[in-house]
Amino acid sequence: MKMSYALMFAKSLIFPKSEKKSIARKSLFGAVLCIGLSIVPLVVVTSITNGMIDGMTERIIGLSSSHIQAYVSPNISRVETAESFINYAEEAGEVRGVTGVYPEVEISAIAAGKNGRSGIEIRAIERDIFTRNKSFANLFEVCGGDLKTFITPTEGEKRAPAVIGKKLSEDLGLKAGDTFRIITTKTAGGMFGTGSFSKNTTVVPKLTSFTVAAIVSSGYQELDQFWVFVPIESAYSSLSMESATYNIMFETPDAFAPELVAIQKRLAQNFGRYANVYRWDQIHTAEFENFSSTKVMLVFVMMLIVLVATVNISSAIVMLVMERQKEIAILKSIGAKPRGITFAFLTAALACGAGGLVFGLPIGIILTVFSNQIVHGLEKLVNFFATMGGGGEVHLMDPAYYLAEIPVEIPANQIILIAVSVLILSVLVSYIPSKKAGREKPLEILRKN
Amino acid sequence: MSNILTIKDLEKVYVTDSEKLQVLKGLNLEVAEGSKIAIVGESGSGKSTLLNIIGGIDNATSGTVKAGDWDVTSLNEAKMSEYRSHFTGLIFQFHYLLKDFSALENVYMPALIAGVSKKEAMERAAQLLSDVGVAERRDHLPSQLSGGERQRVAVARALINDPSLILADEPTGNLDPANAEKIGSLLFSMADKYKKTLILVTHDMNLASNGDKQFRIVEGRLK
Repeated sequence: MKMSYALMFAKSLIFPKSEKKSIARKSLFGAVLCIGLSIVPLVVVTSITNGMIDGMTERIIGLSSSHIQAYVSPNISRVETAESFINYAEEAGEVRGVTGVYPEVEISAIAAGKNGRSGIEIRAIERDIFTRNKSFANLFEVCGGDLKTFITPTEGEKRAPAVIGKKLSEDLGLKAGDTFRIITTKTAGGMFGTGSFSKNTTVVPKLTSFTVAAIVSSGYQELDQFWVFVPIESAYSSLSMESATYNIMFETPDAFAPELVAIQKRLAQNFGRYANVYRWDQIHTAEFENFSSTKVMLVFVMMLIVLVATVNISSAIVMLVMERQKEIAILKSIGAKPRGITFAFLTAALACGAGGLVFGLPIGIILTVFSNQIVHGLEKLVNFFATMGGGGEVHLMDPAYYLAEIPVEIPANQIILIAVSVLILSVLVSYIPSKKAGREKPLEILRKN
Repeated sequence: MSNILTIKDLEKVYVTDSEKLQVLKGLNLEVAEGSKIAIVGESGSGKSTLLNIIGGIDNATSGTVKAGDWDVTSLNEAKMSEYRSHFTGLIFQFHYLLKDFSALENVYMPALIAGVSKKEAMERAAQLLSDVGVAERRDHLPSQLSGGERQRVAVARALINDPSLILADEPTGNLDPANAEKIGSLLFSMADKYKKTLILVTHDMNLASNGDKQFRIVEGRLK
């Protein structure tokens, strides 16, 4: 191989056998260190944002909208009773590609507990959704009580059971077994359903008591802080349904498959004009745009840091070329071509980038794997000093906006992309000094030496 | 015997900010294949310049240099590298060995550049180091060799690619008299052994007298 001499020369540039106290070599190792250090935050940020976005997406898809959601008209007879609505959902869901059907009635209301009142979103669902729906079964962590008391109706149940979000239970001061009231509103004296109110129409509250069967958390407070799950038949029998919306969630084999569009079309055809059918990405467009743009900006900033670090390689190569002029001249005088010399310096630059990766990637991956422990440790430390200074509790990653725990997920494809980018950048920034090395005139240098 | 080197009307002018210095003034030379010629002259007379132009590490201002099938004065940089690699073997006053490579590696480096496999290059280099008498020092760095040993390694390196033309620029100029004599003898004996054409530039009249022909550069021309 004609470039074997260039590889030998490149090796001697990085690991010289003589004169180890070279300034250029120190500069080269400094560049390796800089690249390594710049890769660490890039790996951590990429992994954590990926984990966070995937975790949030998984929860939004699984717990909020499912893969496809149909908003059923409230004016049709099929939603008048719980039984007919469930039957209607099952019939509508008999479409190729649908693997699960979950009817749900949503009502905005107020919940009153020991500590006060709070606006809530009632999700009236079939009792077995916590076992039948994989997302509900896997993503909800039971923080108090037992879901079995919700799933399995007990004979002589005085009050209907409810499953509430953890944050809501804290706000209202509720624990499992406690009773709380839900206040819905209904109109009296008017002509509901006609779209107009008479002068004598009044809005009156309707109070219904429920027992807290279980307290759950999805780990994403943004989602479950207002949720109160009640059995669908209880909602129909004891709550005002005037402001209810009737939704049907449809599960498919893969929320990210292109087939989802076709399933959506089939469902829309099946519903006809009685429902509007949307995919999860249509319902949550704003959130996902927000996630994506935040991630792109973060990665862009981190890549800038890596770019600055790789510029160090360029300056190290410039110094190396100056320091090794004599060797370049000797090699050229014995027949080395300019491209061989250029190749040797580019190889040294590539090795420098690779060295930075070898140093930075494992640290970045280790920090990612232990990111939860590190964040909690830092929180404790910050709170220790905040308490000493009389300040309040500080959350580095407020669970109100982020997941309570960072899902640790190393995105192999993106790590490979980072590694390849760093190697390419290392070579690109070193191209000009390496090319210059290849163009050195041997005689001029040998005369000087 | 045919000519391996033909130089016609060679001129070399060094241009500095303040003056133009014409070192070679229409120099002509013909060298027969297998001959050993010596070129002598005063310092600054243009001996090394002539050798550097023949060796392809300096450019002529005008004139032609034909070495074998190579028109040296019209080669681009890549072709010039090939010419240096395949046709010539250069020996300098200072050994100019690569400091981070062993004697063996220094000798086989030109062979690797020429595209010879590493195994074959190592075998050739080992043989040449044995021929020049430093076989036992093959794994030493240049800094671990004496001046004479370094120059022997340089001679071996010049021969590794089996070049047609050996160009030696004051090869003994940096050595003590004893070593200078040994290296001088070695150079001529190696040229004999491997049937090479040798062009030697030197101040040493004794060394020059070993050549088949002696030339003196006077006022930019050979006499």
